[in-house]
Amino acid sequence: MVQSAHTDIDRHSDRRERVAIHCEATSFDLETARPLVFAAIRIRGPRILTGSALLLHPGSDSGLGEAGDRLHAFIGDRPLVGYYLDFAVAMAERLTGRPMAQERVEVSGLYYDRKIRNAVKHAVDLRLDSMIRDLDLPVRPEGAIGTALAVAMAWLRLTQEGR
Amino acid sequence: MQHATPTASPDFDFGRHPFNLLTADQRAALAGALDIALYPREAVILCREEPTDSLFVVLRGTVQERRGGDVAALHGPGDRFGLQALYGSVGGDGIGAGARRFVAVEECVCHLIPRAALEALAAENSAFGTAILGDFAQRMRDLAAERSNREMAALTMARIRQAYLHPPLFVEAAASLRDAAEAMRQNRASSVLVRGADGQTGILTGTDLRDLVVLDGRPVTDPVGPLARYGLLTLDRDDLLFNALVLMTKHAVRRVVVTENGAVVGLLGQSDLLAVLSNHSQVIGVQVEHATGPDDLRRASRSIVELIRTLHATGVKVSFIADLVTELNRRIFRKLFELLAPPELLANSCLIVMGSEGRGEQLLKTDQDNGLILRDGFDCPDLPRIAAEFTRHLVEFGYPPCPGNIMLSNPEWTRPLAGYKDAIFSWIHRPDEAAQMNLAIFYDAAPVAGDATLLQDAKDYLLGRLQDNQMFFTQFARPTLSFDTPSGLFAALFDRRRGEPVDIKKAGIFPIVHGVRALALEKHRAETNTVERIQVLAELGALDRKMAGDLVEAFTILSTIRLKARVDLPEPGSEEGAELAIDNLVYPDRLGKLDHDQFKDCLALVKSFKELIAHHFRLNH
Repeated sequence: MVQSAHTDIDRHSDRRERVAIHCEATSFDLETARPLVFAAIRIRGPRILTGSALLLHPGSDSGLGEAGDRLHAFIGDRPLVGYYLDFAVAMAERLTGRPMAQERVEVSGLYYDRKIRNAVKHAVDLRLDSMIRDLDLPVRPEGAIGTALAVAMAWLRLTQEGR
Repeated sequence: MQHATPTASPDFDFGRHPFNLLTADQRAALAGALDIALYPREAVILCREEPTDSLFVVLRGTVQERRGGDVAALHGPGDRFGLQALYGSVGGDGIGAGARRFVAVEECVCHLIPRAALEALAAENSAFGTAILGDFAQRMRDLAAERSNREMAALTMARIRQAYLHPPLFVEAAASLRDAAEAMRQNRASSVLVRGADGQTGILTGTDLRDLVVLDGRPVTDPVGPLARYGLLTLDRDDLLFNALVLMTKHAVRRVVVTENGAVVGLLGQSDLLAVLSNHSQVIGVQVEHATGPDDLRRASRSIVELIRTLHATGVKVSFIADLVTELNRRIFRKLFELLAPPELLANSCLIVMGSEGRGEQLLKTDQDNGLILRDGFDCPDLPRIAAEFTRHLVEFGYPPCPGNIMLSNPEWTRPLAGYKDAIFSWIHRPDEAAQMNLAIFYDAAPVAGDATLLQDAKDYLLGRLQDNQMFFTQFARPTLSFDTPSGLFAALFDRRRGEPVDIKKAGIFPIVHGVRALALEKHRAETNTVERIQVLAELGALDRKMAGDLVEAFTILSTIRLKARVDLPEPGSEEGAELAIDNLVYPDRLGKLDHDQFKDCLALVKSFKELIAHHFRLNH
């Protein structure tokens, strides 16, 4: 792993929170998919607030309207971080009934940029487990919360090292 | 906000001391509360300028603890740090400790245990608490131990003589089961003692009777002699109550026979034993219920003072004493009113108590604050006489008259519901100092006798009249700041002036009560008790949880100190002197070190609560 001696934590010293979000749905087809689980975790500076993470099963542990309200309240206008984020956001917009205009960061994109910059000739393996392994993160991306946590960690690691 | 508990926190090592001391439930609670942080190389994790709210446990990587330019320690996976930062005194720690920094030597991942979660676990699991909090916890636990020791000591020192004994009820061995049952019914006893043929004493309980007759189908004409159980558990009247408790527990029985000089003098029931902690409370309760005239009530009322003394000396918690005394006082008021008022007055009015009595925070007999709400249209010609009698009797019982004349005998406080509504209207819309006070104590009112819906109506009217009028609440909350609370920057000064008394009510208790009252009124809450108000405000998010918890604690401690200051006064000999004078001065130099420290901590908290109130209600603008 290439490490930069340059540390870039100033970026994180601002107290702006972000939210790592992950959605599991009945399919990946945007037209027909129905969200089953949303996991969302706030990130503040270098800290991932797993202790106050949000886990929702819309239509099962909460009504659709209530789930949408809670998700919206949890995210607010915080920038979003995710893996296959556009899909999760589309699902979230459908659930909350509100457009989400905030900044979005796709971790697989960040990861790809870094790999390409380091002149890897063969195709970049963008699967989440491979990323986790390559970034040497102590997490198993199991379940919605596990995935959201893995995303949050990957984002921190990728941005802290400086691109 | 309560979220579903995720359990994805990776690899928290519960096998490592002291986390291996946690139970499965506690581990799950901890796992749910954990945050995770990632640090790049050379990142400063913790330093003096960045206060923390968490304990750090290293998951990956190495953290250097640097003091000045030197590396003081290295923390690897499983190691924890940051506790001093959590609990170190703010700002005054000297240069050595102040310059301490924690730096990631390589990429690090840490688990962060929030302080609240840590303290909850430490409170629940003392072994874990000791291990994790170490010295800091020592002080807290010493405090707790000292208190519970005192309670234990009181319990272990008490003699059976102090408990209520059921008089022994004997039947002859030849008596039938029916005779035994009849004797129990007539004497309202739950067991009889049987004089056996050979001079032995046996016992037959209601449960035995049921089993013998109903289950085993024995004829009720069978003699009790052969059926009673002999080999009784006996203790002498001067034995320790504690031994009785041990004996009962060991033999799984609910009563023991008590002897004096070898002769049976009574039975001690388990419930009576447990009631010793609340001592005469039952006796007083019975006295009140059976009172046939004011004189009986007067006696009962006088014994409340003795009860408070005993309870306090026995180490019973102050909130329990307050509940008990409140209940007894209210029973006395109710009974007195029922004795004086004709039935139609009872049916058409509501006797209310206000102020601290309404809040259920009465520890001593303080001033009367009571009133009567009459149903609109109901007329009772005899009312002025009854009201005057009521007040006169209470004064005689030792409840001093209210200096503000908020008593039944004052027609202002004995009037129809419509009259109360008019008064409430003017209190709200034409507030002056007296109106503010009336509103405050009426907001605390609780029904004692008669038709409680009358008070409910009046209170509904009160809450309905309140508008979200900032000016009104600003005015209402202002008295919170009326009195100075010596603390904070003046702590040193305060120390030097230890000898000078502090008015604990003005400096500590009143600001909490009134500030909380103002917040509760703003939220239109119906609770009257200060602690309940604090709890509901915390639930509504109007007070943060930590502040709420600290306030309850401080309120309890201040109330305890206040009670202690009164009860510990040397007891004058005369009967009148047995009344505890109401005086709120606390002499810090006469407090034990323990109480003194707590007192200071509480006043500091009251001070910050006042700042919160000032900010919330914009009292400084």
